Amino acid sequence: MSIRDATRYATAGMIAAVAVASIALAVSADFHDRFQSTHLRDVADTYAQIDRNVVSATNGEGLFLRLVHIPPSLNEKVICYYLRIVYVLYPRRVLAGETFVPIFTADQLRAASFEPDTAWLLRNHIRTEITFTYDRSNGEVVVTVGRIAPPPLGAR
Amino acid sequence: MSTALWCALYLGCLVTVGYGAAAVLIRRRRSPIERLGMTACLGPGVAGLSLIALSMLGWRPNRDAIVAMAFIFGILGIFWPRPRPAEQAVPLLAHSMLDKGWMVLCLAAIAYGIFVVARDALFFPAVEWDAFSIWQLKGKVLAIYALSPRPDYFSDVTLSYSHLRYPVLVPMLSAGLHAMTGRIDDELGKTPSLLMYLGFGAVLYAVLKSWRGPVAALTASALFLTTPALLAFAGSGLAEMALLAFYGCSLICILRWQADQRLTDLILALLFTACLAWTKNEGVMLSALNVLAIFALTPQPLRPRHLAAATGFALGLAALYLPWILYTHHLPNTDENYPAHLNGPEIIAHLSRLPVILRGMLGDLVNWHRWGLFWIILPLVTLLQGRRIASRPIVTLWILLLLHLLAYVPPYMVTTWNLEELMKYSQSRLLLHATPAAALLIGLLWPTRGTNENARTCGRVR
Repeated sequence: MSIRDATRYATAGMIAAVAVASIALAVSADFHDRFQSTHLRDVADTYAQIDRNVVSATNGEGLFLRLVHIPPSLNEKVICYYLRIVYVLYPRRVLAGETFVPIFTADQLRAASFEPDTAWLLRNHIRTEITFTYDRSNGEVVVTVGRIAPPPLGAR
Repeated sequence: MSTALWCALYLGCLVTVGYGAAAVLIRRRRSPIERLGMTACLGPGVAGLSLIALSMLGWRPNRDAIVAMAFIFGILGIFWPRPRPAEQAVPLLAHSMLDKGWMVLCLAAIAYGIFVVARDALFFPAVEWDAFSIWQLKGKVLAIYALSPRPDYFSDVTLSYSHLRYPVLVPMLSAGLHAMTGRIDDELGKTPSLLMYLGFGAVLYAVLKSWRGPVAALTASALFLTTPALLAFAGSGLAEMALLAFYGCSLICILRWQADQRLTDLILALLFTACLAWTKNEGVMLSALNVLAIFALTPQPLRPRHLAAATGFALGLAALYLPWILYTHHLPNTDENYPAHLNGPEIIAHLSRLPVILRGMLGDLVNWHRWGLFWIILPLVTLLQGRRIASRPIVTLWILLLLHLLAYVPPYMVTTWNLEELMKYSQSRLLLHATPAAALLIGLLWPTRGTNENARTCGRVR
């Protein structure tokens, strides 16, 4: 075998070894994230629970969202839950503030928040509210859904 | 009929549409695997554009329209004249035990990829937040309302996070599936992506096999189809897989146009490029790169025929994308609005971000958890092939790849979001868009044994 052939075979062998390593690393990384880590399953279970709660609590109408004492450290969870609820309930509306306020982040959700009056709720076909509350005991966001009390008789 | 059967019927309709489109547009005899792969990629593209056109005329997706569309394309596919016989095939070399063992390993890895992407696409709900907050939400909108008259969604600024102006080809495919099954299904809305994962994998393998032999083809396909970033996003309900399939197929058609200047390759490239633009805003940028490649990287670009073809390509692309430009012209501009910020003064004002961006991108490229060693193999094979890399297809792909990666720098520089956070969430997906070009390069540059002409010359494209 000439030196040139030997070099060529060595080079090909090296590249092949790198390719084997690449495929092995790739498959093992994906296998770990998917089957050994519980993160994806936990996220899916959380969303499934949210989906069940909001769909069963609303009755063909929209939702009003309240945030109660949520620290900025939980912004990512808050916005994920908000986006999920909007998706699950669409075309019914999920409002956290006025209808002309764009929402991208949890900070914008907080900033848009206000106390709606009965007329506003009726105008936007909302009779259910969803509250995100900070649970200090485990540092999590608790999602509760409840009916908004109808206005007293004779009220406008 | 059960939901699963309706879903299977819908995928069958997409494949049938692709079969008819491929019969008309693929005028040379290609291998059955390539033809099947192109069918699986063309079908969603053509069907998606057709459903968008119908929706803009006031008809939201419905079973009758989808089945009728499949019937028409099916008839076209059956009765369209067959292409003329293939040229003499290049004799293949006998494979050593080592080659055979290596190919079995690649096939096993690809089988794993197919299993996990199918699991995500068919059985797992959409948990990626961009998937349900943008793409699948739009899928719901388009399943419930036609594009004309314009639904309230497009003027609802509280839904600005879903990027009201994003193109809608992938959501329309989801909407078509919802229409077929008769229900909005969180799991099944993602199934067209599985078709395109399988389709582009088949195209990549078959094309590289005809250019470089089965070892190089399987290697490049296995490396591409098993990158962790692709496995994470392919079946998750995002638009990434569609963009990869359309971009990869358009690159192959452009390389063939460069080699032979056949009009059918150019038309196919145009169709895939149009689908690219209708998939994501990044696709619009990639479409511009494809136009540049047709204009500047074709042999004898100033020859009247080539100039006319390139001009026709650009005008055809503009005509196919114009409806979406007109449709979104008056929509609220409440999201990042990158075009307004991409100007000289703003880019210069944010030059200090450049080291952070480059460090972040390079760091992600060598992140083995995201890519294996995919992005390390590419420069390795390029360096080790020496002067053999000076072939038109390889130079074209490298130019497009580098321009593609560089094109992401200005938007990062002018973004109004927190740069580190934005890069954390987006850069893997943006780098994923560059993998079809990289996979083609790895296949073309993969060392092969033997004396046949294809093995000696990197990038002999047919």
